[in-house]
Amino acid sequence: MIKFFKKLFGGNVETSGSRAKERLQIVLIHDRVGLSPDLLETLREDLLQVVSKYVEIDNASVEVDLKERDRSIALTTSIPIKGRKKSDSDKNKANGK
Amino acid sequence: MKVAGKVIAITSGKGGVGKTTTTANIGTGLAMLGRSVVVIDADIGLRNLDLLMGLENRIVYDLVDAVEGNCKLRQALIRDKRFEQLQLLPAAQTRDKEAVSPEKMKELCEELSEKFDYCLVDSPAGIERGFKNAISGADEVIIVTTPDVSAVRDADRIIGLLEASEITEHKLLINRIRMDMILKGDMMSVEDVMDILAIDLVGIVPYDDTIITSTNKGEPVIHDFKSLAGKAFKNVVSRIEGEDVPLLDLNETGSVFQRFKKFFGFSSTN
Repeated sequence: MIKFFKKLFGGNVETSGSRAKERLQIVLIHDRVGLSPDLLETLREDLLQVVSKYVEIDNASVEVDLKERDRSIALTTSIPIKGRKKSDSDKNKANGK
Repeated sequence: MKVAGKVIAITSGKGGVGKTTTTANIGTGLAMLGRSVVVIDADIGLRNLDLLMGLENRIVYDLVDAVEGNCKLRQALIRDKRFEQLQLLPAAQTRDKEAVSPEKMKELCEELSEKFDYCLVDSPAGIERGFKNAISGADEVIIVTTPDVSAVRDADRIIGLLEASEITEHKLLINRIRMDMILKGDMMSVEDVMDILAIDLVGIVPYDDTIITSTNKGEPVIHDFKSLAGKAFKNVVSRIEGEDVPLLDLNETGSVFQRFKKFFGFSSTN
């Protein structure tokens, strides 16, 4: 009821109940696949290393997430590609050799 | 020849969320409908189902005695005070979970399901031997949780373990719901918990002082016609029997909004 009026008059309502839900959703995804946030970070780095062997990627805009629906979990990634992999000869040309 | 009865395990992961209360009330509720029911306390070493049923003074033999052959199974069964088709198989108080194996438990449930329409197994908390024993003979499992972070996390773990087992039927019961807190955003709602756990619901039970007073007396709250929790358990029982019952309206406690609506002539049906 109070939440309703808060929403009506604008403003972001973060109740402890919604906070509990958020925390659970995050922790459960990690619990379910046995991937702590640290491990996920390592996975992300390894993944990007592999992909950048093939194409140039925009590191800053990469997204690697665990998404959940109806108890099944997917590793979703969005890896913006800047262009083809620069070969060594391309790099030499760029450096004016 | 009698069709074999259904074995339902009641478990949770987290302790203290209401498994034993749920077992006692569902068992009593099914007996009220005329079904033959045995409620089994699988919490060896920490027995409580006898207390909730008010049968604590009648225990001679227990589940471990029956499994070890110290007595015949029927000697360990205790008839309920109020319904003769309801019986209790109590846990041992001086042993521990290692006294029974999952295989023995499964045999026990098979034997009992030939004699009873329903066998309800009250599982201990945790995910170790006691839990494994409790689910080993089960056709279905009811997972009890409360709307708080710890209980839901533990329930999720249990669901994960069940998904990896052969048991395909598992449903959720959300206990100790406080509508007043949910309306203020101070407690996760039924929808929140369902979003997170994503399994079917067998029912919701409100927090209710009458559960405490009925436990004090050793009389399951489902006997109390005025109790909202009692009504909630009756609905759970109906759903177990296959009836499609809508979820209880937990706003009967009369929130400010309800009184507001009544004042202006928009009174809701209860």
